[in-house]
Amino acid sequence: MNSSFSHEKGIIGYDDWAIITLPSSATKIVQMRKGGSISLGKFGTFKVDHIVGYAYGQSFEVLEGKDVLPLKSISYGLDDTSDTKDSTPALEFQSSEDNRDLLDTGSKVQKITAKEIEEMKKEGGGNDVGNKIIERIVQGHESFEKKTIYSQEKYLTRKQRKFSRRFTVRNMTPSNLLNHIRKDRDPNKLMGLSEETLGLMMSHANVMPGGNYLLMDDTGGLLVYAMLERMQGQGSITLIHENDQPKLVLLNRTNYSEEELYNMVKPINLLEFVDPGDNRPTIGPLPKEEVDSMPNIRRIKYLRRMKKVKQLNESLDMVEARAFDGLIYASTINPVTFVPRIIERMKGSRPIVVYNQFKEVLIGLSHIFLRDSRVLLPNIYESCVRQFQTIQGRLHPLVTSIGGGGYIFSGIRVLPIEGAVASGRRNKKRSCEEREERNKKRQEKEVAAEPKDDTHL
Amino acid sequence: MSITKYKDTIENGDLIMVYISRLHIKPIVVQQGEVLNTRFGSFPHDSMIGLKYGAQLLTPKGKGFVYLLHPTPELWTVSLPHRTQIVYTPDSSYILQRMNVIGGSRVIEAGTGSGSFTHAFARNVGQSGRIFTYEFHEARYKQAVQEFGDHGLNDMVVVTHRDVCSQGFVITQEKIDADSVFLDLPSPWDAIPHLDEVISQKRQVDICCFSPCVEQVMKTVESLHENGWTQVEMTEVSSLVWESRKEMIREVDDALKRLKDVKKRQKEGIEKLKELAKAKAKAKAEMKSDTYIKQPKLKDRDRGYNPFGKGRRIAEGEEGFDWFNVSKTEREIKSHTSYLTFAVKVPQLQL
Repeated sequence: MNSSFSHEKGIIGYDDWAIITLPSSATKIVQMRKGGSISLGKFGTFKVDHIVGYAYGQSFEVLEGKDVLPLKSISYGLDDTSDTKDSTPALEFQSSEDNRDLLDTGSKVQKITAKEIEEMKKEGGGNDVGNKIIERIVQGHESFEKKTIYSQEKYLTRKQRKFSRRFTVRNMTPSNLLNHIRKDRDPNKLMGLSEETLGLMMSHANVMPGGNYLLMDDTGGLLVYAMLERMQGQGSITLIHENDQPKLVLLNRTNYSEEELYNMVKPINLLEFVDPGDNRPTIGPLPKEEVDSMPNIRRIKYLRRMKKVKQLNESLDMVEARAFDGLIYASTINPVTFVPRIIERMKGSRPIVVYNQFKEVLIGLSHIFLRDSRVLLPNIYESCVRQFQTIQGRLHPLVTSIGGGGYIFSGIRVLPIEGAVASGRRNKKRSCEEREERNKKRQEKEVAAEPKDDTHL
Repeated sequence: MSITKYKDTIENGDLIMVYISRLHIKPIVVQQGEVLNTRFGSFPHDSMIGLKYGAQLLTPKGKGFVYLLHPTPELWTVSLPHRTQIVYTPDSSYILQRMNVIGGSRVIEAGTGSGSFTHAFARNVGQSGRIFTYEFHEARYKQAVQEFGDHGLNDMVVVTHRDVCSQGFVITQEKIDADSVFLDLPSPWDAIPHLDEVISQKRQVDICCFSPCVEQVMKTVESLHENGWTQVEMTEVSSLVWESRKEMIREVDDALKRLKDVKKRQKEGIEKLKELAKAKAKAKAEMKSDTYIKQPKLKDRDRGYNPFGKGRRIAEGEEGFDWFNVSKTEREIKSHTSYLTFAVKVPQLQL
């Protein structure tokens, strides 16, 4: 198996793209450049060389001189109470049974000023500074000991999230990438897609090695990435896009090479897809002598172009052969009018999965397929994960989480026989009469009014 | 034979999913000479061989029909013979995504149960991966062995008949070296201490414990902490299936117009009744008591202005009316399956 698939990336290596989690639980995308430094802003700076070779998932504390100390977890010795070795020692203080003596006097209660904290930060680079600051803040807090132990812990956790100089290095998995964009960037870049909905799409679409899938991806390539990871270099993704070039910015942050992407991802624009016969590429191939006599730069350009022509021709062949094993549709182009056309290009008994941020869009599609015998089991699904705080004795759902994760329409493309009639439990005579009556009415209507576009929402 | 690989044409010996109705999908193995009997008629297996997957199949008399579907782990999940509570797709798909179970992953699953999730794991890990699944109930174990064989999963699934809580996970035939662990056990905390012997020492290992009760979660969380697992987080997946419906758009102006019409017609009606009474009185006076005055039948009654089709059975979405496209959930929804407790273990490598 190809070594650049992230599955093989158990160990942090040079040139890898990775995700770093900070004590504040904010995340950041980084690349492990040999000899380079990575700055985490107020959480310090460290050298890439010091973390290469550890397993992904490892946490570190930033030390003096851009060095690091590996830690068992980012909260090690803080709220992680397992055997503490040599990192931060826990603070000792007294606490109250309840908060009856605690008065809210605002900022007056803290004797340390922001200026003093800034000065302390300048003193040194390691995690010690963070701990010293927290210690001083606690000492400078006049009513700290009037807080309950729970409230003190919460206070300390808050300060640690702010001042402790620690981080965790995570694998660039599709889920980690998605959650980074969703929580720390802009969820709209992914059309609001959540991790659980992505998982549901991959399972419903039965994405696996060897499948040939049709995809529309307006998430910047996240879906391409998630599919590639599951396909392991076998099969293909025919990517329908509406521009001159597909927009796949996120793939630049993954560990796939250009060659691997070329072999797996085959872009085709809407026009080429809808009209494969009329949109065959007309360039080349040129006779060998002519190619050989080209100047170097021109030849390289020519060969690159021919590579694309070959790829496009392969995709067009598949479109014409109706050879697709599934459709994954995550586009803002109205699926109600387009999906019924696309599914003609699919094989029988293959899944259709349409994502949209808004259920209303999918309802329109569902209505179409309820009356279209080419699709079985048309349904709209929603999945939402609720996270809980798991501190011993204080289990409860998190107070806030990110809303909206989208919806999927899913169904199975089948091959109905023209004119087959269901034998149901209904009275045949009655249903016959009803049909006649309906037909009569429809004819009357057609004469009376111009045809109504019932595909409209 | 093709749950982990697509094929186009149905052959003798294939496992296929027969779609009989929305709520009835039946897995069968196609065998020459056999017949499938359903409430829509009988279907000889011979008539299935050579058809394309997804084909609609009519009975020999051409009355009833079924669809012949390609097996997938998700269809198997909704059609399989239940032996235990199973992990449904909203949960399983989230677990697969979050633990990044992909081609080449090495997964521990305990217990096997009805083997439903095993199919989804197998689809994801492919030929280069491996599933080590354990079941302590002998009959269920035997059934699982049979099914995995029939479904062509033997290359990637190793089933062991064992109680992992007391006997651990080590098997003699192979080094397990797992990177993902899924525990669907009544007491996962008894199994967690045995994991260190069989998980990867070179890469991050992800675990998910599937427990219906909060009390189980608390004990599991404690055990995970004690055994060196970190980033412990409990989650719950709630999922809904929405049906699309149409709701008639009834405008107030139409209702007003209709009321006015009713009022007008009532007035006319009263006039008519008065005339009728007069006619009756006249008839009585003339001693013609046998005069019969025909009343219109209620059903055929002229309702005048009738924008909402009152008194008629209106099919949802019927032409001639305006409709909202709306949606609603099914009448009974699955509101709780299990809590999912995730954690990771990162080998502390010494460089």
